[in-house]
Amino acid sequence: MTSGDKRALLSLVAGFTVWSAAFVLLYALQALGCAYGWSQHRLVLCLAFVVASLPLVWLAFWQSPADDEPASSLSVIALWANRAALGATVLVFLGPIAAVSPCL
Amino acid sequence: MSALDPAGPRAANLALLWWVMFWGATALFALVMALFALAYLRSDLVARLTPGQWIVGGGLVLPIPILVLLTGTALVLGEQLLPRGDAPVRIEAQAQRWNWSFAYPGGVVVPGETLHLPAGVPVDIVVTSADVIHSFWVPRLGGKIDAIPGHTNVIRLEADAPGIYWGQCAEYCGEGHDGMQFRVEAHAPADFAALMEAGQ
Ligand SMILES: [Cu+2]
Repeated sequence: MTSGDKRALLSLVAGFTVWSAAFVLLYALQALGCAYGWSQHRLVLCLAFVVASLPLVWLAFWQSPADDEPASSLSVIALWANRAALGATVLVFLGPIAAVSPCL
Repeated sequence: MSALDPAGPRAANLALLWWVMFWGATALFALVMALFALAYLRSDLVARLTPGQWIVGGGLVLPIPILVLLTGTALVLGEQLLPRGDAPVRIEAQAQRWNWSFAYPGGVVVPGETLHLPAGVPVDIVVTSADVIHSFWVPRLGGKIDAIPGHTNVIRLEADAPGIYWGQCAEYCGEGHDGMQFRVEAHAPADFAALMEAGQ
């Protein structure tokens, strides 16, 4: 396995690993904010959403393989998996965070 | 005691969501079966699409709008169920060993094991448990909420008209779970006020 393959393999799992970490983080912040009655609860959630999105934006758009290596099919799949992870982040997290009541 | 026979605005929301999902699933099933039939009867038509078009069409274009629509419907309808501010009436419900006991504002006690409500106004039910986790559910009036020891959960219900409704514990809680039903009686507001006065 070449170093490019290893890199592509890591990249393949990176996007949805960040997505699932963001899921746990947002869920925890939502529960803690309700339990302790944070006054800036929604702001905290929105900031966490932005922070979690940054690595995904990087993975989806600015992470290119080294110039001297041709794109392998693994690296192309990894790139599109990361774009799917970014799309899933916006689709699944943004609506509830921005528009739905966080607590009863 | 069917959630598809709603008797109040909150239960109507939940029934509507059920119907949206039912007809959505029916339409999708019909579409997939039609494509399936097409593959048998007119395979030349189906073969004109490339595998890439099938993947993009069936894997992205078809499910994503449907999932967005269903999630959006669920969020909007669910949001309207939340108890915001205080309801005009607040009743405490406690579950213990396959029975529910109800306490009314001002320490009013009403004999019997029926939950009495005024009809036509929102009522907050403050739900808790003395032993294990149960779940408070009156299918014709609204959703369910867990009854958790040491914790109170609030659910808002509303009955359109006076009448008898039934509730059922909705969380398996031991050998008496299946018999853990309770009677709910919605009264005209004046009758409810009289009942509260008599219990003081
Ligand atoms: Cu029970």
